[in-house]
Amino acid sequence: MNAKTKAFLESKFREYYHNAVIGLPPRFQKREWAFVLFDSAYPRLVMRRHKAFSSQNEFQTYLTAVSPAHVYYSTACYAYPSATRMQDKKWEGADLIFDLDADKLLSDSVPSYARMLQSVKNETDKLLDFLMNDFGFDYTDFSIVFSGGRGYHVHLREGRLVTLGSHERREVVNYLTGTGLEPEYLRRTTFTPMPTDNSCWEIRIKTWIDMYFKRVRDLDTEKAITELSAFKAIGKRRAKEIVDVMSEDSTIQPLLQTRLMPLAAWKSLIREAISQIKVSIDVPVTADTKRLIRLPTSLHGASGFRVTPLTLDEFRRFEPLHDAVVFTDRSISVKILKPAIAELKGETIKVHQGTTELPEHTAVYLMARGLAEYESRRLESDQK
Amino acid sequence: MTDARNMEEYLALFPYTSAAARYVEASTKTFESLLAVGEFPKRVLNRSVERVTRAITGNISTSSIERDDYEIEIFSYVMARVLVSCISETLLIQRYANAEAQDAFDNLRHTAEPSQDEYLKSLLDDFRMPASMENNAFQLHFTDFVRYTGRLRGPQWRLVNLLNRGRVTLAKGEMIQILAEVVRLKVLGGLPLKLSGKMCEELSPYTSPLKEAFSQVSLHSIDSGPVVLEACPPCIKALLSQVKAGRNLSHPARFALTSFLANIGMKADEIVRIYQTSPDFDYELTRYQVEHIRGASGKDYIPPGCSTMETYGNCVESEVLCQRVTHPLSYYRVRIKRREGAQPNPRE
Repeated sequence: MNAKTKAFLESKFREYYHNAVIGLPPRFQKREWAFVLFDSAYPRLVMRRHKAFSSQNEFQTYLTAVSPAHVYYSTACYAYPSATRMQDKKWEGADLIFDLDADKLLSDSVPSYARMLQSVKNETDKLLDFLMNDFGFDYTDFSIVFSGGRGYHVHLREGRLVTLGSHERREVVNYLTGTGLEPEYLRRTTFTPMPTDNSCWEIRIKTWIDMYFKRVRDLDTEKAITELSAFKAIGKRRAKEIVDVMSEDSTIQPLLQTRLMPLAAWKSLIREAISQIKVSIDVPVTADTKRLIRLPTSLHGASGFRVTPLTLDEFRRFEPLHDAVVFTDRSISVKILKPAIAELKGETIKVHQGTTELPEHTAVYLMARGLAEYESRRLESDQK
Repeated sequence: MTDARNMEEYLALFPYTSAAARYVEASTKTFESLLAVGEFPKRVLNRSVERVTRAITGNISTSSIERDDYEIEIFSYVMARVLVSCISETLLIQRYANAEAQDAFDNLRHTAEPSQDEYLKSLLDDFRMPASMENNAFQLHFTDFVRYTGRLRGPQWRLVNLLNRGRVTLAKGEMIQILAEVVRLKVLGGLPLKLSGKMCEELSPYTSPLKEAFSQVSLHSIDSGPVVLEACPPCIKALLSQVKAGRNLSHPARFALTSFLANIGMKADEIVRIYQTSPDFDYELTRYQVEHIRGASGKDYIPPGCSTMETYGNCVESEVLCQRVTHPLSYYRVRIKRREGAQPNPRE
């Protein structure tokens, strides 16, 4: 990234910070703040850490003065947030954070950015369902944030959560990822006549298995037999017997009573259910009680997108590549370094090496990602 | 608590509650008066020495002192905290907290029913753990549950198997186990106390024999002995065989293995040699990483505990001993001790 590009990005970010209403997290005075500037080292991330602010005004003044590429604050609150050694800060508690990132979800294929974001959004939706249903939180207990990059953050600040240590937070993550759920343990408890105390995971698995057999029941006989004999433990003949029994009843009761399904098949079915139900989530982020996290309403320096706070309703309707775009569509001249595709504001733009004119938001996006350099001399003339 | 007698018994059984702390504060007996000459201070001191002795030897107390003097029970707890603080050995302090927790557990288990339920309710209240109780089952908020079950092993203690709408349901015996853990942490809290040297000086006739007894039992230290790979827990053995088979370890696995080996006393060179079969082996890099993790002392980083190993999918928990420990190093310590116990000591 050359100096001209940096200066341009910095001026655009300054313009944003000058006009935007920046929301600060609760107890912001007790948090450590960190910034990455468009300085000579950029895009190498040199973090200016251990800052603290005592008023909204002081913060806003600093922000517009330095117009940073990235803004972070500590999920923890400290007695002395500006102390430079962690042990001197005196930890007082930390928000519980969940980080859902496309990195963790897709490995083999390289799908488009838009598809990637959609699949992270689905994963986030799963997480929210777990938080509300299994953990019993109200939607007012958490805030959802589009990270401006590849995913979403979910912040919880409920009083009983903030003093949880790293180990306890990992137990929460283990819950979401289904770690420690053992098919053997579950089979014993879930599928025997039980009173009422089933765990939410058991209920989820049971529902999933019910749905699975419902789907198999709706297939025609041949297809159903093929589906079932895909299990290692089930041969063709056994599969046919199962299909016959299932056609007589709309529940899985006969299967449980007849022992037609071999144990190994139950287990692999449970395993499959777990892998479908669980949430893919970044473990260390949640377990870390001293994490730095991006400030909602700031800009993400590697995309130019707004780190967007969302209510549950807004989240459901949210289109990141549309709604997190803050820059205009007036024309900017850039030099493309690598062929790329950008899909901002509902418009797919393919670019090739060389100089070209692009809408400002797409130009900022490509420059921020290091795929283009600033070319235009129009900046000065624009300001006239 | 329904009557005064019950209340006194409760405070004597559970002297670390805030209710007991209030009792001590309101009492006319000052701390200085406990160090003075007299029958009451003497009995308090004797009983507090007994509390610490029990922590050292591990023997459940067969008290020679009349346990029905409630005040002595309450004040001897206060004094026992002073004694262990003067001795100021981390391991002893931990053992002391364990012993008080074990006592709480036994006392709760052996109290008959109407009082038992009353005690449980009072303790939950005192520890600010709102829990509903019905038909001998307790409903606890998941945050209180995870706070106190980290050291407990087995599927019945994992949130993943229990959570239902923000709460977990526990049988009475399980609730008692959790309360014992709360007690352990309560007792541990604030220890060692910051005391004047003069006070510890005055108490040295009591602390010196305790110190002596403690050094006798704590002589066993694994760190000085030779490295015994066979004594490693199954998770570490699994990682070792993966490395041997030429497979690359994930970052958390590599960290776990390196820090574990460093902590049981393996030298940096030997650890580097283990990684040599790794397909992405880079001598300089490995050497640098191992030395960083090992640190100057070999113990700059403590290896991850069982629960962390589990989170990252590195726990293989294939042995009974695994159920009883919460840390791979504890497993190793137990195995080493057993070996030592099995072999005749050549010097004897």
